[in-house]
Amino acid sequence: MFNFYILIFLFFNLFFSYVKASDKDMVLITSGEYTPLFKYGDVSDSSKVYVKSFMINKYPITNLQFKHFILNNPKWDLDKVGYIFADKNYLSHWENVDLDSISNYPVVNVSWFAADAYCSYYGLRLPTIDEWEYVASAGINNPNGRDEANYLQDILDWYINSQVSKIVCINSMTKNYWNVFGIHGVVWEWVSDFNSVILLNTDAEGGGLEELLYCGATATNAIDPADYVAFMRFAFRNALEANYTSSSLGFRCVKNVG
Amino acid sequence: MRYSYKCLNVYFLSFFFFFCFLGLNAKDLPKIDAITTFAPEAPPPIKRNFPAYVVVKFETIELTKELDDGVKYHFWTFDGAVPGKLVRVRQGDIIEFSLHNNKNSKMPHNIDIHAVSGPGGGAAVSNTSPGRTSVFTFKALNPGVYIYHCATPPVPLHIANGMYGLLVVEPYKGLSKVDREYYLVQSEFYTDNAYGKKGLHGFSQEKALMEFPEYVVFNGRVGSTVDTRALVANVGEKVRMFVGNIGPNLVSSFHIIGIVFDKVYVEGGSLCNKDVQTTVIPAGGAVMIEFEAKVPGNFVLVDHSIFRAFNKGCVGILKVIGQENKEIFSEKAKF
Repeated sequence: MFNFYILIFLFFNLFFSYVKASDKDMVLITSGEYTPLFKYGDVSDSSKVYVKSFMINKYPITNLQFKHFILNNPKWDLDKVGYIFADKNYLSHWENVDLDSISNYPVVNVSWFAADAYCSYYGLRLPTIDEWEYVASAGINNPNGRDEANYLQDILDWYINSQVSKIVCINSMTKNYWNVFGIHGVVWEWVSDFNSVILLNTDAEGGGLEELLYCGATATNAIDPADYVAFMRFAFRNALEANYTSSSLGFRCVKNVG
Repeated sequence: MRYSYKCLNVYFLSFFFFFCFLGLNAKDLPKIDAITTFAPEAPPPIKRNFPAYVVVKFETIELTKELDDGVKYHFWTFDGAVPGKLVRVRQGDIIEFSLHNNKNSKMPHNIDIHAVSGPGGGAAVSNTSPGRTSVFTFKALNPGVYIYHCATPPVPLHIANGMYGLLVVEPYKGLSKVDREYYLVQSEFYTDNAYGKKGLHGFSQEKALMEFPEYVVFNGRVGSTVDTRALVANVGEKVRMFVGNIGPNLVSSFHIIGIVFDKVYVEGGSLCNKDVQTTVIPAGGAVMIEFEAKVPGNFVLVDHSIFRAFNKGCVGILKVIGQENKEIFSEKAKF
């Protein structure tokens, strides 16, 4: 009988190691520099930010992967999560839906706490704004998307001309230079330090967040005022709280290398 | 002894006044729901002669609908309409403004109301995630006709996609009595397809930066106020129009062909100009126009920067019905 339990245990381990985010699901992002939307902190002499190498999930985390996480961590189940950690729309797209039909679609309606717990459980973490933006600033064939014609307008089209209902499954996502799929045009993605945009620039140049965000002068501190998509992400993160969920907000994980 | 009674009176009196002032607190004002209307209708004039605590509720909705016959555009809107609803309050009112962002929205949204004295016109405290609600209050200090618009970054995009409308603050004494009131907002659309080409159009950032719109329209679409949707008035009626222009880039030269404006409240403020043919409405500004419909006919509303009217859609119709007045206008002969 004991052996049987061990067998079951081994079987489950095998099964979950398949589901578990392994290196196979991740790609290496080599270190480099990227240009953030706003100058901030002590980088005023240089507009570039250096990002260390890291691994990132090829795809956004799917409904299936998140379901397995919950099976192992029942406290993140729909009925058990408190409002402090996830609001009332947490995983609401699972209701009255055959989960098989959306298993390969990115999980949405997850809070920052849930996303963070998911990553931690697998020994991973959420990307920082800088890491995420670094990956997202790549084009199709080039680490710097701005060198590609139509890069900004193409992303903008995805954001403003597609509706939430059109979230695609991971197999039909396009990949960028880093072999990362669906970083644009599918869902928004959580980052570990989403709320740091609130602190941004409060002590630099005498202009606070309000000045950055709301005046006609919004663009004065921006390095590229034409990067509308970066402004949209900036505004989106600014409006979030850690227990918020949204039908167009998912996540993916990263891990350190070396 | 008598003296000290007098003192006591003053003492009580000052208490009385103290409570009177307390009585002016927002919580003690009568609480009412704002009456709001979609264009081209305007809410009824305010009959109150005292301030109120006015509750206004807006919902931001992203939806695809027609910009022209057979031409669709993915709009970002207040309450599903372009322009959003006209709000009418009285000078001295406290307005509780509640902004709900529909849970199916992809974008966060906020609101900057030009009548607000405060950071961002309210935008600084109303950036709202999908499915959430933000509430703020402000006091309507200045009378006038004011634009409101979404000011979430990138601001130009939220404006260009349809998020604007008007808020009217009536002066303490109210506005003069008229027979009809209408609500109009002029705006441009920067589509990635040519004017009139059928199908779904997207936003062209390139054209927006060049300030080269494909569409310039009244009330959110080509033909919003023509044919069966034309504005109407009877001969002899006094008509008032609240006309806004959001731009996002162009300044409007607002004109109604065949009508002289008896009064124009310049830039929507308190300065009244009389006997005006064409009035300039700045981007992000408004104007209040009054005139009497004198003779019957179809009167064409245009931006007199005339190619916009002729080739980009900026046309509306005011249909005046009633008896001719040959002294004012009559056709004699053709040779």
